[in-house]
Amino acid sequence: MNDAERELVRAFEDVPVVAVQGEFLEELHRRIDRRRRSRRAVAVLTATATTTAVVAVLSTYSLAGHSTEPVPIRMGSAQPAPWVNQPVEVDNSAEYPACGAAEMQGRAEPVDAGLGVHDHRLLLWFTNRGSQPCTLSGYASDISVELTGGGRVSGTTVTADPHVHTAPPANLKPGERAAIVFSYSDECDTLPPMPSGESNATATAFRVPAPGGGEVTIAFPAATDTPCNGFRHTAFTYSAFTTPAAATSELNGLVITISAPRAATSGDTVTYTVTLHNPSDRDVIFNRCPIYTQYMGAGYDQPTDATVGQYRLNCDETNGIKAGDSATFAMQIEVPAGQGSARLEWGLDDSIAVAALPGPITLNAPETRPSS
Amino acid sequence: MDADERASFDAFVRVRMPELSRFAYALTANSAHADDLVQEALLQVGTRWSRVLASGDPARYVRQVMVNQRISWWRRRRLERLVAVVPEQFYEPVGRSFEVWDALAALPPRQRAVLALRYVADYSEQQAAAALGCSVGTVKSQSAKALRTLRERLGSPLREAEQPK
Repeated sequence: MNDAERELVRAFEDVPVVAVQGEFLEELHRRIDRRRRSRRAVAVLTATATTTAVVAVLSTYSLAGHSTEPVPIRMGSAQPAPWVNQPVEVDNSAEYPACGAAEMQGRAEPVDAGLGVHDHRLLLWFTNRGSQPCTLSGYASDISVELTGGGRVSGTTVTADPHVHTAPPANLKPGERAAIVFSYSDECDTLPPMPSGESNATATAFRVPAPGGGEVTIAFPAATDTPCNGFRHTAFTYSAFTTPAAATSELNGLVITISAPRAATSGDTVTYTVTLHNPSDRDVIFNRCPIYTQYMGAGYDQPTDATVGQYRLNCDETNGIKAGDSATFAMQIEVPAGQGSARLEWGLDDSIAVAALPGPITLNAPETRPSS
Repeated sequence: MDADERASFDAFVRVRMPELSRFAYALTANSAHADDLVQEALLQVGTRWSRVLASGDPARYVRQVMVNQRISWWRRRRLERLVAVVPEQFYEPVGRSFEVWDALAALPPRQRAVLALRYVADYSEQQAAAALGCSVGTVKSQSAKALRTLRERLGSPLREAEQPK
């Protein structure tokens, strides 16, 4: 054994011996018993298929590869789940210089997101093939899809003018990778007839500007269904660059709808609601209670002041959303100082699920109180 | 789990916990993650303890569960604490040990797994390759790369390291 190996072994041996307490063993056995009971329940339920709803919950766990015990989804009442004041700190800082195209290797991968027959997703992977760490974060400036014949189609980001970045930055050491989620729809029936000569305009490649300069070209996966034989007649959206975990989060399939008063007074706390709809054919279970980011910016497109906060959802009321179902949560936010109008945005952290309230909120100045 | 099985499982946990914790720490280079990893592995083997015993080498079985579990965790960003009652406070290395662990934490997880298998669990290259589902050549190259990186980051006395025999 050489010096390096000896020092390594010394470091490993420095890890202290852990004394096992009886309390630890008791807790371990309680958990083991619970797992065994739930496995027996799975076996019985799967064999007899007594209730499709419960089996659906269990199969979700199987599909998602979770190792924890299945739990029934606890839906809230018809009323929104009350807001709970559980602020959290999330460090979403970029650690390294922005990655350039020269050090990135791209690859596209179709994913089965369970979104329904007309909605599709691809993951665009970017692997750091350079010798130095770098960071991919934020939205690529203008992703386009190249078509046969040389044409290009551009898409839009998942929020038109995002101030909330819930997708964490991907800090990539050499060999590590980040992803962009690319979404498109093929509801061709609602689209105008395809002009003659364009029916063969199929997608051939993605062109993705890298934050550190240059453009990454990624071949379009050959076996992927493309809408109406191409992208010419349809729009697509794309997420920010993010970590593999956020890019593949089960939360990404949720559709967020914000409902808020159309006028608010600076300095007041307003209540609004957020509805999470699960359009997929799979239940979404909050194995970890999700964190959300809320943002209200005075000045709308050019914010002069903003309130931003990160909190946990009220998972005591609702711990998941069944396939095809929705859950509504009450929210509270302090209205920032300013005049004119404000923008309200909301998103689930560690995912690409973000939304903005359509249209502005009119800001009223606080009433001037007479001095005594 | 009947009384005999339970007694056997408890004895295994008491005796093997130190080496399993050390192995988990080497795999993760993170106290909290290591605790999660050990606890999850024990929960998994506890539900099928009689079969694990029948394997003839329960410790190897648990280590393999940890390696497999770790591979799936590499694909997830966050972990969930499974057992609230942890047996000991988190380990915080100091001094030179801190530097070494800091450098280990910066290694790609697979390289750290090779080092854990070779230098904590004392696996041969063939055994490490089998545990990781890769070739012996990959184990050799990953081990050499890991040691080279540690040498570059830490300097003397981590010098002139060659790949393990």
